[in-house]
Amino acid sequence: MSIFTKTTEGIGIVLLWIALVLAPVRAVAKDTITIGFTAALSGDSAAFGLNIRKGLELAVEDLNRRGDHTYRLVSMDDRGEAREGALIAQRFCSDPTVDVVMGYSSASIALAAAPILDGCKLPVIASAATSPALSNISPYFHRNVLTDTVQGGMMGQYAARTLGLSRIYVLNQQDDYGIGVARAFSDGAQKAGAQVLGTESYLVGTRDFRTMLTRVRMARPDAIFIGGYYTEAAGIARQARALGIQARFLSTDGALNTELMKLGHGAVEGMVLYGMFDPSAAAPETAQFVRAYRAAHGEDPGAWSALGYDAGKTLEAAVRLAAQNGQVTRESLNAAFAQVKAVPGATGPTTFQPSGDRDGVLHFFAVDHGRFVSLAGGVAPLAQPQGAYPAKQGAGPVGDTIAYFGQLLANAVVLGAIYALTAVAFTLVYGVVRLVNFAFGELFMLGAFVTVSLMLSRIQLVGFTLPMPALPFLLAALLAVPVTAALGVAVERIAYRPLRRAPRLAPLITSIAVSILLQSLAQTVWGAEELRFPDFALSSLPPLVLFGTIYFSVMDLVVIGAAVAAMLMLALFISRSRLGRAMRATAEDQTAAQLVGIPVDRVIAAAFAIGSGFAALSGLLYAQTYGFAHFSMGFAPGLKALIAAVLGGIGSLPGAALGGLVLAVAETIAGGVLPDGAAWKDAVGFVLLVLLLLFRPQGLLGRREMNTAGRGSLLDGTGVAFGPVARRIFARVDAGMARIGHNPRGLALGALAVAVLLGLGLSSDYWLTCLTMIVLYGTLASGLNLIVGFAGLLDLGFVAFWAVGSYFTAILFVSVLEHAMGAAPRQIWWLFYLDLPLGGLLAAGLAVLLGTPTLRLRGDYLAIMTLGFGELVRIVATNWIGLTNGPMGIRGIPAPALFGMPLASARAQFLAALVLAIMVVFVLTRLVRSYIGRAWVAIREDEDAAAGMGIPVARYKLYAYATSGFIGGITGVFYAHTQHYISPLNFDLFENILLLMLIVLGGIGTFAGPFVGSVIWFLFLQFSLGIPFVQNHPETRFALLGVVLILLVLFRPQGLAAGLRVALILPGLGRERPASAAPLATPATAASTETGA
Amino acid sequence: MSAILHACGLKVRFGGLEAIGGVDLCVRAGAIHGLIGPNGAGKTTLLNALSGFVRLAAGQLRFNGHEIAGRRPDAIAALGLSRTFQNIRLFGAMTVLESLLVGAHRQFDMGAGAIVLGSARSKVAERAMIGRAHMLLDFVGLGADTAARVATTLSYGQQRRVEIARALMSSPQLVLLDEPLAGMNALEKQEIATLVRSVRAQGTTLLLIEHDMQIVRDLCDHLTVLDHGKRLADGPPRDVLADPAVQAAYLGRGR
Repeated sequence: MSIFTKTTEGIGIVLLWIALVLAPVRAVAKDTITIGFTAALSGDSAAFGLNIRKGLELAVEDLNRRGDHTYRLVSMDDRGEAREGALIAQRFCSDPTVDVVMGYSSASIALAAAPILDGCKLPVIASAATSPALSNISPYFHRNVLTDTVQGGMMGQYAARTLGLSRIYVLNQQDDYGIGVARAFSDGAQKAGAQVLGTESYLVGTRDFRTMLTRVRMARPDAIFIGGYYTEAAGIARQARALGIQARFLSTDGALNTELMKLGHGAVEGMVLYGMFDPSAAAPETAQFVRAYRAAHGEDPGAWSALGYDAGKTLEAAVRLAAQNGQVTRESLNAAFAQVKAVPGATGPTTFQPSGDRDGVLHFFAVDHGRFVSLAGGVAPLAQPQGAYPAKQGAGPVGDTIAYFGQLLANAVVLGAIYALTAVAFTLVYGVVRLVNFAFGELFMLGAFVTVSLMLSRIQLVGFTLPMPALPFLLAALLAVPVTAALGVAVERIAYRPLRRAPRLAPLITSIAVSILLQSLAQTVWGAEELRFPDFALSSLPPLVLFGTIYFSVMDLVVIGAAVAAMLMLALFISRSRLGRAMRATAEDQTAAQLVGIPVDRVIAAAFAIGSGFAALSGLLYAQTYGFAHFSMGFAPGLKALIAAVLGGIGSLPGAALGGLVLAVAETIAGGVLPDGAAWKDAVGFVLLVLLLLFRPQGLLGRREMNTAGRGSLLDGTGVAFGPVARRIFARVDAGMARIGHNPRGLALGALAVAVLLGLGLSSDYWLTCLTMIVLYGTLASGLNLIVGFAGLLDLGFVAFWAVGSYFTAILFVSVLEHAMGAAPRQIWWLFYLDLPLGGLLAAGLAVLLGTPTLRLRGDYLAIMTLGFGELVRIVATNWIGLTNGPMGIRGIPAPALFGMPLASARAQFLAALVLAIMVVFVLTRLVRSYIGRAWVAIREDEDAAAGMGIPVARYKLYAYATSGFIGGITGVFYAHTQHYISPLNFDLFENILLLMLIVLGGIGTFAGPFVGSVIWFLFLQFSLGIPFVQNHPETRFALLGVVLILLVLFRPQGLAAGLRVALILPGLGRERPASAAPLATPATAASTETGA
Repeated sequence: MSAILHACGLKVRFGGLEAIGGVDLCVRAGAIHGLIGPNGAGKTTLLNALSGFVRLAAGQLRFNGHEIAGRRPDAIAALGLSRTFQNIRLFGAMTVLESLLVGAHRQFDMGAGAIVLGSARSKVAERAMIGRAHMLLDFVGLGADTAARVATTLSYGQQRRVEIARALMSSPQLVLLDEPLAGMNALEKQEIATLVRSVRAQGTTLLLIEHDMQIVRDLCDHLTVLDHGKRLADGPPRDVLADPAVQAAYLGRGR
């Protein structure tokens, strides 16, 4: 009892301290207007939010100089995630100093946040959320940007009427924005008499459009509308021209950014776009803004900066109006927004309609000599693209088909060369060290960045302009390879080598941590936007044309040549050189190699050097092919390399090369043949992977032995020895844990008491929502921990179960009951309670379905296959729009209710989440502390010995999958009803990795670990949002996370709560003494009764 | 006495190599049956084949009236055939008591529902097995204080005993011991030999691999000698060890 009270007391003090430190109330002068700014400021689509903020900052500086009120900007990064956006909205709500919210670079986040902000009557001006679903969403929601429907429709009419285009092919990125504008455009264009030849969609972040464009070329359009952002628009334009497509390009306000010209390399000349901001407009506000922006940033402003600036100007007008009538409050400010009329700004006057939308003018632009030129004066300055389509005469349908597949094959070979090179590098390292190096994609990315940096004459690094040597391509590439190789060796030395004797997940986790660290650092150093790959003599040559129809570039040949040469050299090196032989010996058996005098450490370092050098080479070739370098560019190719390496048989160099080629051909052909192939082509690799692992787990050319059990224990093992100080600290932690561990019931009750007290006592909705997230992520991580921590199966596809639960209930409640049958959620409140077990069972069923083919796989193969499954589920959720509403997600999922009384408040939801978590943890502890849990742990520690004890290993693995899936499913159902909005973004690979990290952070294979990890992670995220430096560089949070994870795994591989060893016997039962004397005569059992003749 | 295990023409192949080439083996119920042979003779492979860990290329294998050729290890274990491993394979991070309970896996049969609800029956079963585990610890000569220790932190000799106790938890009819005396001093060897005899005294049959001829001669009722994957001799220890072919094989004069 005393331990119980002591624990509670201790936890209470800590929480009290946290509450005091965190109390969001700060002393702020009364006439200060605080702007809560939120947008995606890190990650792939960070450019929009960062640009809006640049404009808003200019406006704030300007307003503060004039000075009746002081304006203060608090900036929060939502990372493009709805969950994070909802939390930030809660945070602004709970912070009484915040008067108005601005930003919102994506509609899905605005959709999640708007109801929350409505609840606390906090007015909003959004600047880049263009979805028509946001019209009339709340009386407090305004935006100064036109909706997709309006903009796309006007563009469609403009294209058909003014530009006189009649045969248009429509492309769109697969999200609410792309689909919205493309539909509106098609409608507008068709109404005005143009013909839409076809539509294709692609996923945001796609780099290779050649397959899709080969299909477009067949239709011979005279214009192509690209409904998407500038990165993809530039890529499409470049690749289309390289394929000989001569159509005019049309695109959107999402592409209206000077980056378009940088990345488009001249191919975007003549592209027509629309937008709300015309820098050449005559209005004095526009000129003033352009001047101020140039002075501050040394470049021309884009539309998003202008809208951010105008949001600031509109705010000022509203503040003045509100101040005339008395105190400036959220309420009076909102009233003022409705009253302000024609506030002058850089994008013209701003007036809000009652729907919250803005009245505004759309401008049309054309790219002319690398600049956006307004088409206000007419279309005259447009230079018609020259040339014509490949000769059609006499080709006929057969000729067309041959030309089509010929081009596809040519595309596949170029892609295949890069995949093969990357896969070879990957497999070399894997073969020697048996480590799935997740940081591999980042070395790939760094190879590209180093090359590009060396080729420039000056470059902005961390915001400073530095002179660079402007080397020619060849020299830069030759330097980038050894630089990256050295980095790869350093990573091996620091993060992997000390872990040779560590628990078996440790190196995998550090490799993920290194990947996160390098990616975040790259964003800090080179910025969030793509860095253009400079043109050089070879890359500027016109395309080569084979048989008049098959196009490829000189650089494509260089890429293929370089890849083949590099792979041949490696093959020679491995088979002929001394070091190569030593590598093969080390790959066979490290201990034996060491015994015969091979310096294993040095050989492994050499393998890392060569692997990293190859990664750099493929990275720079990739960047050259697609025209840019970007901090996240390594992720997708890294995954592809992994798939290709496994396809070929991991560890086999020729296999990897073959795997790369096979993957590229399969992707390209499937993308070219399947309906909507461009959006589905990423799924092809995963399907191929699953099929191959089912029928030939060793891969095409691999050896069966590579599919061996995970080496060593999941928990036992050593990392790096502590220094004296750390040793003392951790000794204390462990002693405390051990003391608590003696009384698990006390610990559980103590934690519960604290949670309930917090749930009843906290007044801030924001902190209650945070706690709900902590509890839900802890519960999800517990489900993952069951399969990873207890059964020892590294599952990287766990999010799929979560997704299934969430989608099941969302589709049932929203799509079926509400939309199709017209039922009111209030009347069917009880269905939620039925959905919990049903969603759980559905996910458990899927888990068994997915688990069955993996039963033959062990160790790393299992991880790769489950990763494939997880990604497949996400791709299906993104592309199967009819079922899941695709990237638009499902909105309006009702809050859980009890007898018609909604549990919508943050407090009720937290307490409900707590009940769910308690039930899950209770069931988990009971299962683990029984023969079932002991069987899981036995399988985790030694599969063969477990089978020798009579444990049907396969069946128990499936039990583990099913239980883990069930937990994922019910938590998913609950999650959907608390978030009210889900989209495929909630369920990406990073979420799975995050859950895994929570477990590792807290303590793998313990009950408390997932929750400890969850508490630390969420508090860290929310605390760090308050630090000004982090507000400016949000990605540094992830860099820090990477560092902390690496250190933790190095020094304490079992996690913080590792002292809490889990007993596998129910407490109170362990002290039983024998009753009878005869030791071997036991009660008859099923096994022993079967006595033979 | 009837045969509890009867193998006929067992063959095991690793790729092109024939590790076991048509071995016949008959283990009588209640015997202590020794399996000997020079290094590389295929003794452990044979044990693995008998317990289902290695796939048979050919041959018949009857255990206790069941044809078990081609069955999975866990199914064979469920029929009452239990084993230890040459290089001790205890479960890391588990206490001795928990490891022993894993050995009794097949003795539990309550459903997940009963476990979660904490039914009386499931508690009774747990208690019974925990009681049995303590008994067996005592039986193999480990003190009561070892039960709560993590098994892999025990001394080598203690780990061997834990492994034997774990194999006995399921009340097997036949126990395969793969070199239970390896790496032990003379005193420990005698203790384990005594332990083996008392296991047999309880009615359990044992098949064990051992190199120490002195111990083998005293302990075993019956010996089978393997060499190059073939059965070289079979019979009572005295006859077998006197066989010139066996001596030749052990002294390495070839055949």
